[in-house]
Amino acid sequence: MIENIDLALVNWSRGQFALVALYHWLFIPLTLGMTYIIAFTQTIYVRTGDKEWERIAKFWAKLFGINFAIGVGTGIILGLEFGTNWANYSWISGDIFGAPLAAEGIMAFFLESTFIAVMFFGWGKVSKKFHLVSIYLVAFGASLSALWILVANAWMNYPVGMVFNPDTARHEMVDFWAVLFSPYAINKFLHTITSGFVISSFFIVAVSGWYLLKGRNILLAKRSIVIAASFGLLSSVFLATTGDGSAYWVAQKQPAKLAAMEGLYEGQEGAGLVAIGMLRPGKQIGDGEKAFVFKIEIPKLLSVLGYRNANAFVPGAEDLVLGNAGQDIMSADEKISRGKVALNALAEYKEAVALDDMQSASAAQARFEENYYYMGYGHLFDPNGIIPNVPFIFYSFRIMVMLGFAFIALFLLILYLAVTDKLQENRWLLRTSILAFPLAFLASMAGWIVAEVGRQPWTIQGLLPTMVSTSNINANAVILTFWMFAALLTVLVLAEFKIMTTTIKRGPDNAKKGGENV
Amino acid sequence: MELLSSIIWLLTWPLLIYAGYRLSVYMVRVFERNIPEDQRTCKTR
Repeated sequence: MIENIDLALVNWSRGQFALVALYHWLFIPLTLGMTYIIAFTQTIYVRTGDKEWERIAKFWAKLFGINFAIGVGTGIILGLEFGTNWANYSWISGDIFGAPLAAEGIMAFFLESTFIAVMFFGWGKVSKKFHLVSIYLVAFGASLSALWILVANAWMNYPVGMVFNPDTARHEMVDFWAVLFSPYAINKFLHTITSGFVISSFFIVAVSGWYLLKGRNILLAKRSIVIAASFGLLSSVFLATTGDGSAYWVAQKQPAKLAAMEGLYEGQEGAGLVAIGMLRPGKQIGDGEKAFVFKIEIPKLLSVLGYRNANAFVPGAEDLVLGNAGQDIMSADEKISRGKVALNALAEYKEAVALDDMQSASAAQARFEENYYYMGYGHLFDPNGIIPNVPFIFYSFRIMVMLGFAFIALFLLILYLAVTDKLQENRWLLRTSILAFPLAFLASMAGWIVAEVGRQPWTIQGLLPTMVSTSNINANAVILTFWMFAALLTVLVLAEFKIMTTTIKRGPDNAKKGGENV
Repeated sequence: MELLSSIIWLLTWPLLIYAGYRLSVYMVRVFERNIPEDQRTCKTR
């Protein structure tokens, strides 16, 4: 089976998906968070009648509109790639994966696309309250869109609510609610949208900070910073809370990902969390070498975060690959053997059904069901391959967490100085707030690396390896489209950057030079 | 039980938005006490 797999096709397909997803995620966080901040400012306008608040809402809505228009295209490419590059995955799991994607289209896209027209063109043309409700519905639609796509993504990490049908060799949904309300999905949704809120808040703080540095649009900038820093502070605290939830569910359902996140090779009871550390380059599973050049560890914290028990055993990469009888952990070799039994039994079952030999079919089915849980492992050939890239995941995780906590402190400081009207004097902090915007993106991208690279070698955790998920196409087609997308998306990002910076420089009144100083 | 706790956890999303709005309005009020009177919002409730 493995000899038929074109690894160039697999790697380029992965690369192409990662490329488009990376570009897509440059646009989405701003869509997720800015709508709520625009809604807050417009709500204050509707409640107070102060036209300056409406002017603020209109300005951020203009920037939101530019981002939204360019961002939609990248999402469409991603959706189509499931068919073009990941046809085998779509065939095996389309019944389940397709449902939330369809729900996203029917519920979220229609909601957004209907009311976004009112949001953009309704200023002064419809009643204030209807216009405000439209902005909230756009915001709600954007979050709802994220909910559905993250339900689909979470299912790949923690497959629930389905059975495998040996007659069709496909996964079929049996419990929609289990898929929708999977705790992994809900936590992932909350964690992801709040990361979008944090990025959006930093975007508004950064642009407003730039205005304060330039001495332009001062009242707009100060008010915007107060709103964005308040929302950003709350969101960043909530982000840390949902991050804790993520760690818990990863520990429960994806121990290999957790081992990579922590650089944990030897499992231990009462495992500590590595706060800062440097992995030993070239460390291999089972080589007896130490995993770290140095590390500073918080005692027992990993056991607490992962299992809510300070003395719980946390399996390391070596336990998962070599097995640990004391902890009842099966070796990867054994799982691979049982997976091959499952795959052979499935083939025998289909052959027996085709020959109308129901007795043999029944025996093969029983053997398949006994080993079904390990079916995905039957495609693997290297036991060490069940552990994702440890250094990549370990460092990405630390970048995300450290920046995440730094953002809480930064929002707190910005908010304090903003409400006491001392922010403009602290030019170093304004410059830091501008720098924080790209850093927020870096933290978010690092989070996605932990989530997606950390799931490898699986497309569907434990059931379908990535290398058997691709379409049966020529790798050259994927390479060609990779570079086409790379060029196209880079042009789109540069275009957005140019339009955004021009609009920001012109300010809320579209002045080509300067701007008012109130 | 898992389903119920997930639904409750999901409800923190609108709660976060509402809390975000309330905190923003409160902070705007505090901010406006510290700026010149002519720049203040007419009546931030």
